Amino acid sequence: MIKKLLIFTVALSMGSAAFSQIHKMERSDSSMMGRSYTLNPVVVTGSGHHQRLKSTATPVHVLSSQEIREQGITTFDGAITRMMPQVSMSPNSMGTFLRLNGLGNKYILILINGQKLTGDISSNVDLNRINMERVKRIEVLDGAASSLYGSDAIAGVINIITDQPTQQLVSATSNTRVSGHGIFTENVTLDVYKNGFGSYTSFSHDRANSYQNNNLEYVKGSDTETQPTIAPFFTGYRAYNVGQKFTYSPNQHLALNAGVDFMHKITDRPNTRTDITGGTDYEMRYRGLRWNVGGIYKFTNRNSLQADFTVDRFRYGKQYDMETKDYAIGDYVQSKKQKSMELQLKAILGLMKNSTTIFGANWRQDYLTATSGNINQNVYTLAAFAQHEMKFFDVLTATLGLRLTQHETFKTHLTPKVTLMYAPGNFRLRATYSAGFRAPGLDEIYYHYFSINRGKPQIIFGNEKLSPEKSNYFSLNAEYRTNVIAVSVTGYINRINDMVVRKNINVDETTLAMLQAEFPEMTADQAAKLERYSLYQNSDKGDVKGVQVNVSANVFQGFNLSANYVYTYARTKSGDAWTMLERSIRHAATMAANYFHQWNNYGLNVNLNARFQSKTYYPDYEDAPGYGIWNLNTTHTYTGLKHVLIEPSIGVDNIFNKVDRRIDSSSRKYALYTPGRMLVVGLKLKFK
Amino acid sequence: MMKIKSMMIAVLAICMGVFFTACSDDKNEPTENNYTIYQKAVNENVKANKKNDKVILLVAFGSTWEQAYDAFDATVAAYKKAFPGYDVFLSFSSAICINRAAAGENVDPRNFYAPPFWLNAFAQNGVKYSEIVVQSLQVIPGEEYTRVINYIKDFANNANGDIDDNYLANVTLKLGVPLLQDAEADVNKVAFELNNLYKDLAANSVVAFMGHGNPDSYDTYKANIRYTQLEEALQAYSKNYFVGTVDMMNNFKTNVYERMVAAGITSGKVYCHPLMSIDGDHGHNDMAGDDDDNWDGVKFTPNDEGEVEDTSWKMYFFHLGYECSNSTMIEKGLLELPTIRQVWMNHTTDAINGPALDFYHSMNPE
Repeated sequence: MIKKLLIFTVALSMGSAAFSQIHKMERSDSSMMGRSYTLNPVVVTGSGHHQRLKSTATPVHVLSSQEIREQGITTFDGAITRMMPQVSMSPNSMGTFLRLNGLGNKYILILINGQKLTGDISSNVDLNRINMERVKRIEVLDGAASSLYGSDAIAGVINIITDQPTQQLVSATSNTRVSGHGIFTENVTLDVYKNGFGSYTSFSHDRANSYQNNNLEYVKGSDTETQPTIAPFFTGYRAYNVGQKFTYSPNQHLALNAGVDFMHKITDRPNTRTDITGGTDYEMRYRGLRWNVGGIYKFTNRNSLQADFTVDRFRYGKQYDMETKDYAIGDYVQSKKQKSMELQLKAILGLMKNSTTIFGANWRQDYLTATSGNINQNVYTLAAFAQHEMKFFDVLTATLGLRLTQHETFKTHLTPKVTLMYAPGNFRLRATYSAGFRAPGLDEIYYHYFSINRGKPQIIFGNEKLSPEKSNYFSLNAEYRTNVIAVSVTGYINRINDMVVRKNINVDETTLAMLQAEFPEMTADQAAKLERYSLYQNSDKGDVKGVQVNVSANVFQGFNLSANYVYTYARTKSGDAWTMLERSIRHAATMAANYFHQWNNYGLNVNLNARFQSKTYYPDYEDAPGYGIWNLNTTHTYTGLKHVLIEPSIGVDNIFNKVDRRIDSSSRKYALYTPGRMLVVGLKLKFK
Repeated sequence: MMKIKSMMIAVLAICMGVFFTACSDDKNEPTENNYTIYQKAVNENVKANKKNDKVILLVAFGSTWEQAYDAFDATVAAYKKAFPGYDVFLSFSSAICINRAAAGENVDPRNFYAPPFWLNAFAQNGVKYSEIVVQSLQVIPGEEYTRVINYIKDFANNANGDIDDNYLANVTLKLGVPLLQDAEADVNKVAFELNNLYKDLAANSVVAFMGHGNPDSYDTYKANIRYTQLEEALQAYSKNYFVGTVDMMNNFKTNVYERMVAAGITSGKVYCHPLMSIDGDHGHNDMAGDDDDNWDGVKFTPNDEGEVEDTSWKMYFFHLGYECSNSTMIEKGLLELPTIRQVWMNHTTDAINGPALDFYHSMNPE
């Protein structure tokens, strides 16, 4: 079945690619293109320097602010899952579990304007820190990219690029969106630009209430007897973001920038009650503060220097909203505090006519303070990287990249990348080999955990001898891209070695002596009961094979259609056995149809979007069922007024009311989190 | 599960279906459309005349008058002389002018082409200029100039997707600004040069310049203000200078007349001069024509906007009692005045020496 489906899909898209070669736009005037989507935008993430999508040897998937706006999406999760089948999310109170090409959060590098977003909750980067109103485009690079980006770029890189408009002296926008279950987002921005000086202020508030799709859970120890619970299926939250960015460009060569972003988020869960289970005494509180300064000096269009310094702090813990034995209302108990400082210097040089060379150096210091595991440590990372891209005989482009990393604990590591692109006419054939690595986390290196559970000591140990996790990524891509249609098929293999996992080690005399020295609080009686302890080790392997098919077309003026399908076969080997990677999804597809028409001062946009996915694998639990979900959004733009643009929108999320209503949500696994069909209403005002 | 898979297949199949339908639309394509014919002609022209590795494209609004053609030809010749490392071509941005010139409205038919054809031709295989300088021959940075900018943008962004992206990423693109780009430097320089030419006339008579201007609804870049600024700069030399327009709200010939009256000038000679790159249809008809249909023998009847229609500047001021006749019509376009033309050429030099246009590299970290 799977094979058939794959063959069918590939054959169809190849067929249409070949067919569309004879499809020619009747063009008398380029303005006839109207509001077509740019199928060949400028991108940066794949190759590290700006290129048109068609010319880049390392292709990326691009989500433009236009597409995000037309789908009526105000959250990062929504934007990326609706349009990119290779991405999936499962939100919970400990952040959103993000998955890209079968692999989890710690193998995904998230960048904001090319700089790493630091700060995770159990390896999940807090996605509420991304202010969607500022997004210019989101680029998703599939596969390893550590030669350019360093640690964590194994499953892929998501680069969120923000906009700093310079067209107007003063402009202000307000974007409000309301839906069911207390879902509310409000984004306000104020931009001022004059004489090369820009100030960009933004505020956003985003909230949702907790909800249940089924208020029953199984009574402990039974799989038939049920009882009501107030445990939320979806954890509500209130999030606030404030951002300020300054840019200054005294001439066309130099541009300086500085910015600061603050986020505060707190969950909103039902409180503990004596009459019913599922309440909690506390909320989880998250705070992030990120600031950066940097500059770009452009000698010519093809020669530039860039320096960026970023400091990112993220901390979270429990904030009590109920009086307990030990805590009063309002008490905050910190779980984890993370900080990183990063300095990056990069030169992009056009040394020869048909080449682009990048040299870079990177210094990074990571800090972690965690109550659990008793960690207060920091490590440095130094790296130098170079990449040379060269075009031969007009149709061949080759890229060679190399990064040398020096890390405080694992010392040196080398990551290469080689790509080759053959580009006759509108066709592209690309082959990529790229290595990825992930530096072990500070918790994995320094964890130092001791507790007594039912009289038995529990010990979890970090490991200073951990090697980086390594990956080898191979991909082949065939693409046909014009301004009318773009079809792309990619097959890849991503192999990960030395995956860091917690392994149980049997205790012998020598290790017991070592453990007693490490944990003097352990009594002789407790030590006698100690049979095993946990140690972080480089042990497991991962193996992901996949196919991606992407089709996008400007079918006729004002009408755009896109469809994406991914097949992902992700396995992991722990010990001798291969199992499906937890949270991986075999088949996923997204589809979007967009229609736009303008009548004088009124513009109508209708967007129909769908996402389908097969079951999500949970080898140790029951799999989460697959689903298909459709959303419709209409946007109405009125430009008739001199100083304000009015853009109301109305839509229906989850048109066919697909809901996963299984019993016992807090102990089962889910893929579909929607509470059901919901009306979504928004209003955007832009003041000029 | 099965449901989802069949759904996916269905969705993909639907998409493909639409593509096929979209494709099958163009089966009875005409043999060759005008676009292709024009592009071929320009391609051949550029191929045949390419002598240098760099090129200057002059973009004028256009005209159908012999005198204007002569001014353009002289300008191209002057450019070739002043910029020896560059090939120089001329294009019209106005479709009406292009079509009427090709039809031979006033003189023998001549083919001019819109900037996109030239830019495409510069990028064709076997030509591929390493540097393209687009020089606007507009007077103010207004509506027509934004069209010039958009032509370059479409070219640089490969709007039709048929230009070699690698070439676009490497070609140096430069843009020369209009005559009155800068509100101080350019306005003062042009006022200084105009005064040098006409100070003897302005000593005893009115010298009224007639610009084009953008109608209110198209005054996108608020560039109309340059006419007012130029008048102020000229009046620093002599109170007898006035700058009016054909299309700018509150600055028609009627408004020029009001300002003349307010300045106490109610009689005497009025010289009229086009403030346009060439002296074409507007100069010969709107300024110096014999049309006075609006004059009922006693008075003019202005329209809602305050302009007196169907009457030339010459006849308007004549009927209002000024000495205004064929002998006070200065039939010269600005490109025919070497010192003014030099201001445009200075802008070209500045563009060549300045930073290149960049449609790829963001100046913010990405």
